Amino acid sequence: MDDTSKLLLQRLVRRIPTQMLKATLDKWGRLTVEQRQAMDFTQSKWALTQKLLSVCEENKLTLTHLAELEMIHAMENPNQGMWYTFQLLEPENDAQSVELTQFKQQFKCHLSELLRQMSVKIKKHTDEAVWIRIALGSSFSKPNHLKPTYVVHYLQTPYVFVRNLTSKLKPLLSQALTLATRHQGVKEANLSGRNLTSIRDLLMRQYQQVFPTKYRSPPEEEDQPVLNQHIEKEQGGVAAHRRHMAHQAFGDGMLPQLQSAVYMLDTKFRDPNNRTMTEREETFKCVVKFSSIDLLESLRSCASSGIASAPVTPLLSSIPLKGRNYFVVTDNTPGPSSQGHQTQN
Amino acid sequence: MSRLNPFAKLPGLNTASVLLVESEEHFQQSLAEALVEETSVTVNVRLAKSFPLPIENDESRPRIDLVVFIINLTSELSFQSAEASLKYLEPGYFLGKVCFMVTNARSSSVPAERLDAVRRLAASLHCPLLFAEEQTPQGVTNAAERLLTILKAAAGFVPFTTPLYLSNLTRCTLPPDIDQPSFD
Amino acid sequence: MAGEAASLEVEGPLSEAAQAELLELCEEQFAHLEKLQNELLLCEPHFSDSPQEQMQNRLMATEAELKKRQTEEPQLLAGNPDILLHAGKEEVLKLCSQLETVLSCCQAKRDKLRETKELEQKWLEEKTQVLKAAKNHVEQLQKEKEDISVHSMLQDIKEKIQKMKAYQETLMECLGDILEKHVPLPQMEAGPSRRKKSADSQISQELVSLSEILEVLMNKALQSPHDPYVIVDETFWPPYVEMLLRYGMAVRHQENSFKIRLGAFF
Repeated sequence: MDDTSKLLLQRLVRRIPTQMLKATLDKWGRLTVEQRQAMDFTQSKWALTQKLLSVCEENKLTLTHLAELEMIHAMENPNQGMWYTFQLLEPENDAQSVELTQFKQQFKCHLSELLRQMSVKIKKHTDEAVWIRIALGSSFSKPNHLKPTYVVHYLQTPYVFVRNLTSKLKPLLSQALTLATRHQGVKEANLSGRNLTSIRDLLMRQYQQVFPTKYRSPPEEEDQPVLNQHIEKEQGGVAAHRRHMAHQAFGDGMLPQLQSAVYMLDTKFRDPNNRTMTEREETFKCVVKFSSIDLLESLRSCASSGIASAPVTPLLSSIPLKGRNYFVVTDNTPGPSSQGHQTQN
Repeated sequence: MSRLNPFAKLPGLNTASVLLVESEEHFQQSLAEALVEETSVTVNVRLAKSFPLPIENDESRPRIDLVVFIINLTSELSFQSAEASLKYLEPGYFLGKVCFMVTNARSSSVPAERLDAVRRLAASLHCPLLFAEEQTPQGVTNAAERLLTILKAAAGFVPFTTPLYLSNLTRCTLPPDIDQPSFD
Repeated sequence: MAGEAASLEVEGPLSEAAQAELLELCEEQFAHLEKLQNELLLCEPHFSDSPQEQMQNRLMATEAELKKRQTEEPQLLAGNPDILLHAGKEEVLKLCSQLETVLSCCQAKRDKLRETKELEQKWLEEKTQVLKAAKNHVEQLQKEKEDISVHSMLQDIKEKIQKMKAYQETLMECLGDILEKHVPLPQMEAGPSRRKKSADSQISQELVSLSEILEVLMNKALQSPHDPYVIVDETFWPPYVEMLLRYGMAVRHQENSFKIRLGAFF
């Protein structure tokens, strides 16, 4: 075992919570039953690391085996780190028929053509997702297993989720992905978040949605407790209307968890009280960032409680509708619709 | 501008009506539930977010004997909303039929100036200022009890007392050193 | 007003006549109320929003109320003794409960005050005792000052010096005994190698005992407090120096590691 393997193992043990360590090691399957039973998980992390190091030496495990272990942990805990989304464009005729073995082979083949020092691992997760772990090296150095890039792709869908993408790997990855999935191009989907499942649900519309209609749906029966006959709400209708508007924009059910929404404003400054700024020719550039543990849920409750004015501005309601949380707002496009931004990071 | 008039309607028999105005519509519900528990008189509670009140309710609305503005001290908006609503009240209300109730005054995130502003407002209108604890059921009951005392006087249930008389005794007064910077 | 009229409706059995009378009274009052209400609605509201005028209105209203109160003649609620009894009973009961509340409140307050008083009294007592002790002390000092003489003082001090000297002597002796017993000079031992033995003996001949080291240190500290450092030479057995340094009895010079001084015990 070289120093990198030791370092990787140390980091892994530190990162995996003690109560999950046993299950992860079981799944890994590189230790014999006796070895696994000999592990005492009540020990300190440091002692566990030492023990594991000696076992790995004994089994002659290498860096690639440890990379496997890391990948198992990453797949078990998809909601870590920042995930960015890409969208594949212009599928070719046979794009729908790509299957795993073919994809694996093509992807590896295309990537290794481009770069020699690279370690790629591909695994299929239980929920149809293909997980790819890429450790990149330069032309003079070995693959850096300490900072791998993770790519998650659902076959036959145009979406790719990437974590820890370096600028160096980006063009290579784009090319390999488009070729392996039989598409012609790839672009950023302007959606990012810590919760992989949520952004996946958002993009693949796997949550209860609302469809914008011009007609007001009949007010839903609200299951509010029966009020005392002596208590009456003066503005009960208004409140119900607000709730209705909020539900129209964001739906009733569980919403995917997003952590932030960013708006790049590049518009003219408009404020009747501030003439100096309003009369300027140049546009006023600024970034507006909303952040919260669960952004969409907060927006909905803001709208339904009346903190934000109703109806909800299309800028906010288009987060779930368009499945993105990065917008560039310019004056050129009429109305509040926005223009995609191509270089995000 | 239609304003709420204290004498526009005849009072109901053995009935007192109170209007709770709170921009957050949060505390008013539990407070209302505590208020209607009162048995000696029938208490009608109307809940509103802010003034003006919808005109279509004018018919069904009883004579409002007391208007309570609930101000959450942690929110500037709550104070501004209450302040903006005041002009929709006939001046007759300010002769003892308005009171302010402040919540969250113990929260550490409240700037001292905001409480001073509420005090100033209440003092300038000669209205009583009550403090309420909304987090505990005990606090809600206490707040309701204190409101009921004022409400009964405001609705004329207490012999030999008038709302004006009570408000002259209980109105909020400013401490003389409110404008001095504090050094604590 | 309506409230007053309504509050007259007392629970409990009332004779029919009384009930009828009460109802009539209510009707009368309500009619009066309606009349007033109509008058109110008819008269133009002359209120204005300016705070000054509101203030004046308030003053006027209060004054009017006061006048009404002053001129109002107390009048019987109703002629029927039955009603009066009921109303009175209710009123008295209410008053009773109110007074009870006041009583319990006052009692609580009294208890609190009593507690505070006790605390204060205790504090006062303590302070008086302190004052007494201080006064005694002052008195004593004054007395001493009066009957003190140069001679007796000298005698006193001499005695004290004598005592101190004796005490120091015993301390020194004690220290010497301990040092002799527990930290003797390194003795020559029968070593395995002859060469080493001779080297050892060479050194030990020049070594001084720990008590001597201490003496040097102490003397130096007392004689030249501005420069209490002693140079460590080969006569100091290194383990002893180390021991002194380790237990804080001696301190090394910050710049010159060959110099040590006595720790600052005084």
